[in-house]
Amino acid sequence: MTGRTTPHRSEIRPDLVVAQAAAWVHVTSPGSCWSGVERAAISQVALAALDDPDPLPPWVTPSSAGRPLPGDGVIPAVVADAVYRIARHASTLTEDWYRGVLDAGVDPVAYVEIVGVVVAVAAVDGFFRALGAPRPPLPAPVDGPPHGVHPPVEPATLNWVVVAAPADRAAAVVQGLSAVPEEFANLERLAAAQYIPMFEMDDQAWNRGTLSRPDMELVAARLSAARECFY
Amino acid sequence: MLRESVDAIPADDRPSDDETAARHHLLESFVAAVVGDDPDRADRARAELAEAYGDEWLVDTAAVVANFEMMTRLADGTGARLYPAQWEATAAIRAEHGIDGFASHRH
Repeated sequence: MTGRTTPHRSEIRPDLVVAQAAAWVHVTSPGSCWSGVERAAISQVALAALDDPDPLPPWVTPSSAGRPLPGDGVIPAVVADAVYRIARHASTLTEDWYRGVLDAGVDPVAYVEIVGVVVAVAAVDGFFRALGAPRPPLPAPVDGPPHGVHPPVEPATLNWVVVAAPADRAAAVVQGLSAVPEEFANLERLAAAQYIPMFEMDDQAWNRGTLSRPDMELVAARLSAARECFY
Repeated sequence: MLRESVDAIPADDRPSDDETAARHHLLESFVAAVVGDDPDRADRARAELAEAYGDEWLVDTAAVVANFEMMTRLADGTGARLYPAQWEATAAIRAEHGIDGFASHRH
């Protein structure tokens, strides 16, 4: 141990603090297909998976292993199992697995919303984990039913999931959450603070005065390789 | 993106190869340490990065890590595929770096 302390929260860029705080409220508030309480449960399961000191292998579900999860009784077991797998073993997901989740009764748009919640949780968790600082607790859920609104969706060639019509007009990671625009908006806010604002993406020299763009891309590439993300 | 961003820097503005290599070694060590399961190694990597470049660098590097903890799960959770042209254009680099062996390999 070096004894060095991590930067105090007050030293974290304000735009980053604001984006993360907004993400924490977002994932515990009502969405298109899930209530605020259900989204909070999805978030808690994702955090439990990320914190799990003895993770289950990808092919074993928490429900089949009798592993208790925070969302028990709030969200169906198939949802909790899917959240655990996406949070902890994303690189092992297959289209057959995804079809199995839908066959077990999860609505295709509700699945996209689950992914949106899990990725936001993984972002905030990943920041504090990388920094070696305590992660802020999730706020209390904003109770309320899902609003049920989403754009017309259709199957895509570039993703397993359904996307907002017309499909395949944007890159796969851009259209992946398009069935639930609020999830994409949250991701875009986080990405702007964590990495690069979307409108600056084509500027290969853009930076914040610390890491150069090649430095950022190196970190991105090493992290993606560590997570075995083919895309 | 990495190659494009390097190419975008005018030759006269590029840091020396030694300086770039040292910085990239620190950044790569940081990423490897914070995704690993050795807290002491991670703490050392944070300290080395902050001592070399300052706390702002540490925060901004952790933020990029966070972004790709998000984006990798987005890609894999939604079954993202490359465009056919990307698939063809990346064949050599995928083979060179063993990327086709990743569990999430799909097309």
